[in-house]
Amino acid sequence: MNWPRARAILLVSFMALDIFLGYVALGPKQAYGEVTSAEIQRAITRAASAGVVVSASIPAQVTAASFLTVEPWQVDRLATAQKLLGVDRPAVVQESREVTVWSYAGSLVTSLASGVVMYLPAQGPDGRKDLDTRSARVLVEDFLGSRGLLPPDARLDWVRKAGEESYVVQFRQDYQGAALFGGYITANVEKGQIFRIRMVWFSPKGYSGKKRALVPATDALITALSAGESVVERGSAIESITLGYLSEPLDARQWDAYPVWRFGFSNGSFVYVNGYSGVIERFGEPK
Amino acid sequence: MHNSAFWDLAQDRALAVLVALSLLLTLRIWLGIPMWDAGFEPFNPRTSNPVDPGLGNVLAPGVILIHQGRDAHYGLPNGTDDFNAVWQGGKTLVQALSAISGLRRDAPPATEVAQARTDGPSLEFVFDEGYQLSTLAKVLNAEIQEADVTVDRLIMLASKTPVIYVRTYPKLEYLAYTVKAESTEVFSLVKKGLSQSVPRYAELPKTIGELQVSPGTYAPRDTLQMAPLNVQADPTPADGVLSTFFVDLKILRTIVERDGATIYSDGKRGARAYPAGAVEYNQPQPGDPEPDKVAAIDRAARFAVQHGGLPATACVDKVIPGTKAGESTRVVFGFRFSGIPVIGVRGIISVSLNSKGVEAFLRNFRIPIGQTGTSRSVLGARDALVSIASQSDKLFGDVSPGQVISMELAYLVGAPSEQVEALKPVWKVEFSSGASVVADAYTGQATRRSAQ
Repeated sequence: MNWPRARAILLVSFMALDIFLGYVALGPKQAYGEVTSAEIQRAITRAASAGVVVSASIPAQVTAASFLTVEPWQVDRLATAQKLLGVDRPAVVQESREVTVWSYAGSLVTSLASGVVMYLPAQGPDGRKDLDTRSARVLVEDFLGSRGLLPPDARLDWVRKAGEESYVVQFRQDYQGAALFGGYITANVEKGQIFRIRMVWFSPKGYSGKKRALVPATDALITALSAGESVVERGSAIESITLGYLSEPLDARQWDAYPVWRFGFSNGSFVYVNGYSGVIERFGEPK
Repeated sequence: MHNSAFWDLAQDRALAVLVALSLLLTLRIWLGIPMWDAGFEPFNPRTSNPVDPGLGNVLAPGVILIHQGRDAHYGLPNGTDDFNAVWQGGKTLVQALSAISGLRRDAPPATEVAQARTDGPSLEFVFDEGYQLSTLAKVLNAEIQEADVTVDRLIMLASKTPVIYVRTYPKLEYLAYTVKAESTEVFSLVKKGLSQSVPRYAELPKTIGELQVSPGTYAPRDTLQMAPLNVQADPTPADGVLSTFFVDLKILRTIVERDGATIYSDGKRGARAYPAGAVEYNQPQPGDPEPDKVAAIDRAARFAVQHGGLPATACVDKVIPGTKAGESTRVVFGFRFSGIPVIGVRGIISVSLNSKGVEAFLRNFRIPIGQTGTSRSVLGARDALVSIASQSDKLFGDVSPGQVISMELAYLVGAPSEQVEALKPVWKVEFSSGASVVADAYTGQATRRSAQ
């Protein structure tokens, strides 16, 4: 055997191999590729076998994301109560570090240390009876907007008819174009008037930690189909697939929201699949 | 020619480096092994916090009683020179266990054992917990014919015909064993002389107020002087301990609590790092409780050694066995300072484990600096029990705590703290029901440590 020649060939081969491996292992991570059309088709077929139609487009790109660090909503709690109650000096019903309750003319505002605010207005005479989803949304938008309670990072998430004369309107929080599903303002409208508002909002501090590849939407969709019959009803459809961040309101200094795929079903339910682990984090009808 | 040989050698070595590099990079890509600069420094326990005291030392008795006849009783607390001289690293117990002939008389009258203590000379090992004799022998590499007895006391009576008594646990009944004729040499140790500083002990009365005391429970006879013990936070970085649980903390979700503690979670497991350096770890995985206490202690000690280490003077504070499926057995460690146990409200190191593995771990270790302030008289054992008896409604409600089976002086560590903390001495009192009470040794103010 001609060892010098073989060695030269091996040297060149391993050098090329090491350059390639080095690039894969240590090189830029922005390019995570795309799932193939065959994989998308496989996810659609799996959904069809569960009796679910996928009417939303399935993102093909495989992306990477880091955590989003958030803090409890840094808001003047008294000012929020004043705006909701429409009065300068609401009566303090209860006050502690964990919870404060204000009232005025039968209406109540409860503010928790985790940043959650709840508003229960006193019920007056019935309002408009000819509401539809659009006019219900306008009613809520007008109320929140006129009182300066619709943050600039709020986006309309969905409007749903919940009963004979009742609607639910939900705004969600966005951060730099990414949905922050844990943050929302939900208003219940009944008989032409708002009868409850729940605000869960965060103060995002920025992205943190390493960027890591997320499970592809196709894999997350297949996982979401196992959420249970209460969500994945035969004959239903997946109407939206959105990548965003999820978090619960916590009584803490700061914490990490994590990336999730959210699948919106035609029956009004959502399934949230953890973008890192691929496990279902939450499912069911929205709160 | 010379240049050619050098060039050949250089190329061979370059090829070897390239092959090794390709293997390394392949490993990183396939297995996701982080590069060194991406992880944390490997955990490097301080010299003041050795990693493995050895199971034999952890299981060693808390005190060895020496009965020299009539009311001459002496106590050798674990960790003192006198204790070490008698214990000899477990050799004495090994010889005693090996001397058992296997012929036993069940349940000799209690008066016989009491008489053995009074007549002397005898030597009594008082363990912190009830251990299965066979497992204890196995840990200490002793050969023993007896197998199925759980004991918390072993008495070596050096009479004309040497006898070994053991007290069964939890029934607190005695068994007597004859000793092999060729194995009586170890009994000569019983007659060994003691140094002047060895404290006198006395048997506690059988009732104090409403409290029942198990016969054969001894405590220091004379009033002792004790000063508080200053301890400081463990300087071991919490990140170092946490990195023994998680490969890379940077990929974990974190929650920074209002008190400054940080919770790390990967969705299945969670860890809390306190600002003072204490670390708590949880991984819910229901299984069957570990029934064997020694096996539980062995597993817990190995886990603690892997995750931050055990103090060199670690001792078993308490073992709380799970009683049904889904529960864990909790092993609580303390450590000794000059022979006095340092224990925690929740343990210095606590490990909850079951058939599936470890469910919970707490490390709230403190570095002892030394005693502080002036020494003051502490309550005697009897007075401490009188005080506990007067608070029994508050401590036990309507449920009887059972008999007092042991009591000793200790130092009690509170919640994690960054500050230097002066630990007051306490009386640690254990009851046959499993209840545990600590009473301030200066004032007698008592609190419960655990549920029955």
